[in-house]
Amino acid sequence: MKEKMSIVAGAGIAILLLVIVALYLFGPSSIETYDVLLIIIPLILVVGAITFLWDRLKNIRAGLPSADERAKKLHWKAGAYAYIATIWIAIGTMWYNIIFAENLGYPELNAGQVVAVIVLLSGLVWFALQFYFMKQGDI
Amino acid sequence: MTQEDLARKVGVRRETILFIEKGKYNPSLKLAHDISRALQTTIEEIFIFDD
Repeated sequence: MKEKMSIVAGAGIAILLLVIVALYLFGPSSIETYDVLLIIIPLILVVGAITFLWDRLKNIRAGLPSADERAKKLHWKAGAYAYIATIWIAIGTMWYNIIFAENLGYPELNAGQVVAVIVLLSGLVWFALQFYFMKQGDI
Repeated sequence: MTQEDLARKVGVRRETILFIEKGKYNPSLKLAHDISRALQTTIEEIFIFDD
């Protein structure tokens, strides 16, 4: 029951993200270069989420658990690494604004864009690490 | 017995059994115990720990 609930919740979030991206794409406001990144990254996250959900469903249909001790361990390990990556991403956005925006004339990231970049990239790192760890075993 | 059969018996994903077989994952003591019981043998018979 808990597994099915998590799958439904994951699918719901993925659909919600897709709807938001669609509204953003076909909405009245114009799209700038940096906004394209903020669209592509959520799409990658959605594809990643669908892959994980599909994998879980496949296991449940086969009568196997969707998450076991190894999956849970790697899930948290990826989360810990993604947390460290998030700190570096946050520092990176700060450096970007200082080095590239102030000194080299690149467009400056506003507060909203910084938050979006941090949240989306950390999510991306978390997904990528989970996928990598699951393919590597554990050692 | 297939990997999937063993996975179903001990309640883990098939990939976990695969990685244990390949020596790429060290199972918990509980899982090692469950596997040995499912295979009707002892932990020492299945797992070899190198120093």
